[in-house]
Amino acid sequence: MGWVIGIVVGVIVILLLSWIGMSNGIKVAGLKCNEALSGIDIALTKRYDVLTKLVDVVKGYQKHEVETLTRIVQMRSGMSMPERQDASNRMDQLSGQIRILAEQYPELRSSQNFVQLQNAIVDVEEHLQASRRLYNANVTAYNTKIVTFPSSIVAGSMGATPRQFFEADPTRRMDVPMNF
Amino acid sequence: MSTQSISATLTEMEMLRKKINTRNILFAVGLGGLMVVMFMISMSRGNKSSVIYKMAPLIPIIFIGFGIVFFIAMKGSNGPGKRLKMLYKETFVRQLLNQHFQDVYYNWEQGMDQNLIKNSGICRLGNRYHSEDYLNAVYRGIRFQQADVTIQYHTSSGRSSHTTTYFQGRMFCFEYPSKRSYAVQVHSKNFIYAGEPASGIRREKLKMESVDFNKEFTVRALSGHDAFYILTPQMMERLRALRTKYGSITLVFDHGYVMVGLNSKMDSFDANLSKPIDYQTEVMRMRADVAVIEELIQLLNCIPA
Repeated sequence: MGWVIGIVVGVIVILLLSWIGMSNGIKVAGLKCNEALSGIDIALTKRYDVLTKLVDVVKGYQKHEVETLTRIVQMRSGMSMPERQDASNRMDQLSGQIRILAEQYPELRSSQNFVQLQNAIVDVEEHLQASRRLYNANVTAYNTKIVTFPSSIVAGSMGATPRQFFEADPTRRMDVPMNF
Repeated sequence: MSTQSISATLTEMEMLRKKINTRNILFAVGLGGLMVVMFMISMSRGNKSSVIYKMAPLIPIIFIGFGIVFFIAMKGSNGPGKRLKMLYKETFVRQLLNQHFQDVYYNWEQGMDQNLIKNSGICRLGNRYHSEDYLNAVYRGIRFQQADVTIQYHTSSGRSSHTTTYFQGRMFCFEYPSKRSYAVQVHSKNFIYAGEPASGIRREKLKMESVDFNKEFTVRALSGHDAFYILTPQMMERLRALRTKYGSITLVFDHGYVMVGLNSKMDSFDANLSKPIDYQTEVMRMRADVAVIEELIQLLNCIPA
């Protein structure tokens, strides 16, 4: 009889330790997502700052063109994923419009300020890509943990829900038409 | 070098090659003969009437005789061997390096600094280190070093000994354009002797978004962001192509440089003694070795845009 109790206690201890392990794993995965998300916010904030400076440079050369440029949203804490994506998409549009303007106005393109800021934008956009890919990789790992058995049971008890990916603008996923 | 001097050098190299091969054959025959005699003596043990048994008192003399033959063979091969190596390196390797790279420093007897490998953690360091064919030069504005490196761990316990080869192949160190410090280590899964950096700071294991890449490579980094910044989808495809070509590779991106190890068990800039030395063939072989350096610099985006 004693060994039966021993086995039961052993099984309970193992289950308890497994539960704790899975629970901690889910929390750690969630924290990694939050950390990666803050990386995206930092990159988006930097991009906003550089784009604002670029708009100021454009204003110095072609004031009337500034009115036609897409208005971008300043980054703030507590933004939802759709708001972040919208902010990022607006910045993409603005970045593209400034590049087109630069092609039309050579004096703008040759401005040293403009060149430096363009290089800064390229660097910031590369970092944004890295942040986005890191975030999405962490979200994949987190979502996988909370939907696969047996950690899905633990996730359900914790109220953990799948997280949203940081998706690219749908228009950027389309093939680029090449008209020669 | 003029055509006449090349021709004279080739003739001398071919003569040296034949000399070395002849001595190697003598060495092999001598060793084989000794083994046969030892075997025959051991087989005739107890048979007091056999000729071989009666020759037993001559064993020490036979040993000394073979010892003298071996000594002559080994001593003889050092002189021609070193001379052949020197002629080969100066005729084929140095000239080609000066044609393809700038500010060339090449020393075939010198190796890569062991501390470079230790600090980066690109490979475990055993208790045996050998390196040669050290090259320090510039290609398209990028300073680089390369050398043949062999790293082994040797253990012996009286009765038996064992040597594990951690790395054998070419090791490179390229300047890498960076606006921030990275600490990203990538190695193919079939390279099992990746090391830890000398700083002792552990790098976290990461998975990239490419399933195929994760199957073939292990990635460790101090920061996930740095790993994703360096390992773009294009870079991952290039690394997969490198692994397909060279089998087992290891890389470390750190503090303005990238170290690359091609664990291909093949040395660079070495002569092939088994065949007659043909000028065009050797130039092509050396060009292929030089092309590896150029290919790596291009593939790894070392050249700033």
